[in-house]
Amino acid sequence: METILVTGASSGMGREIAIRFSRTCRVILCGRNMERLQESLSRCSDRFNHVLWQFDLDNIDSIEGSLQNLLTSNDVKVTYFVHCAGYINTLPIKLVSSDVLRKTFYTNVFSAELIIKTLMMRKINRDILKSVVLISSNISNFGAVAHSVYGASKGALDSMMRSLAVELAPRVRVNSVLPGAVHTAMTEHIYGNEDLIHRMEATYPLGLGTTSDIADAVEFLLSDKARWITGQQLTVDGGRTINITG
Amino acid sequence: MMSGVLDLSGRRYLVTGAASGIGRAASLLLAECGAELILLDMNEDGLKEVAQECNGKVFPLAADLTDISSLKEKIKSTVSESGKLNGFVHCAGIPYISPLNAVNEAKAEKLYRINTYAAIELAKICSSKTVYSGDNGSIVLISSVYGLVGSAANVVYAMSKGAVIAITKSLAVELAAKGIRVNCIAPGFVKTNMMGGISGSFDAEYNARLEHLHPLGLGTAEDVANAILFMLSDMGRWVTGSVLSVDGGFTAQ
Repeated sequence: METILVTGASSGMGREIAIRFSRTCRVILCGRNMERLQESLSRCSDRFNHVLWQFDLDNIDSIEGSLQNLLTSNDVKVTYFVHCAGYINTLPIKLVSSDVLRKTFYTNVFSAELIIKTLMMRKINRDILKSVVLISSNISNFGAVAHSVYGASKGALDSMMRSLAVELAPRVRVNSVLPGAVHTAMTEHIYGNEDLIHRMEATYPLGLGTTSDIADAVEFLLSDKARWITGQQLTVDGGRTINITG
Repeated sequence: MMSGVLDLSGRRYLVTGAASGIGRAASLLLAECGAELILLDMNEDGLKEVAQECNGKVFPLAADLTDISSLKEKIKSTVSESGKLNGFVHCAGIPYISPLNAVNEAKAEKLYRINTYAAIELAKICSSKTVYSGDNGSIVLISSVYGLVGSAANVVYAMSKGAVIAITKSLAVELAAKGIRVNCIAPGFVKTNMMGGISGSFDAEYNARLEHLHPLGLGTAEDVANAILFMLSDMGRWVTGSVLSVDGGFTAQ
């Protein structure tokens, strides 16, 4: 049986991905809130003994130790890793603080690097890790008002992805998926604004997406069908970023 | 571990360059997944072989992609037999290794017609009422990593493949209203006859360097076919205008 580690598994894309893979893999669900993690777990297939990892990825200095303990004490080795955890606080430059920068980069970027480092440790995970997908954003290659911090973190994430893809080849493949706007807890503030949603929808040639659309791309990239794909950004955004007519 | 929907039952696509290489691998895989296919190539013997190998209903169509004026009628008449299409995959392509000072206009023009312009003409035909089934539309164009990065003695081929990426993006916006998605796969160096023909002219040292340029080693036509399948299938339902490099990490470093 293979194991997949999913961060951000207590809601949105992470929850969708955890649920989907629970039918074919043991899932380690990582999230901050135990109640919401339990809710995700309750929707998972009970075919395997899934593991809950309640952890706030903002605690950057404890990530390696916590994950090592978790894997050792549960005697689990991880084959697939999907980094869905994401923090967004859209702020104009005058309101940006070192705190927001730190929190955004810790959750979105640094935690992923330290998790991959841990999963590459022979004594912890032997050479079991096979494929990694990082959830980036279509903002990674473009610009938007009040997105300088979030956008920078996703650009950094993709840059990290490319270098790790080269460094960890040929054994481990590393790719990222760049979603457009999908309705999740993280984007709740946008979806609450009907006017904004209508305006946004008009700029998406295929309309707005669902967490399932993103999970499909993740599943493809993790699978052996993508065995010759590494170091790539796969944009899944209904055409938003190639559309300048909207 | 895949549980997503890669089933293409009830779908029908046209595949160009179907007699060899990536086109052949794509045809075999799409047929295996339940799609009906129009197999288009100039090479009639090759077409017959692939048609026999395909596990499903296929309609071979011998046609020359540089002969645009007869292409429409040929496709229409095949479609009247096969039924309407959900889309097409443009795999047909010719290489052109030549240093700049030896580039020949007539050769460049022929290459451009096959690698590039045929994609536009096929999109026009396949999105028309008489050919498009009207639902689950999906087009996949094959570009190349050389459409994204530079290499010497390859300017004409690179032009033709870079243009395919531009075509992908503009058609994706234009055809979204008809429910047709348009995506692009940019393969790295794949072991096919076309590439074998090229690498046969390289020395062993260059071939070793070429392999080294791909962190995962050289790929196969099947690797590219799998990405085509993803883009055509419902798993790619929110993907349009995207360019996916299938290149063993070539463009990541």
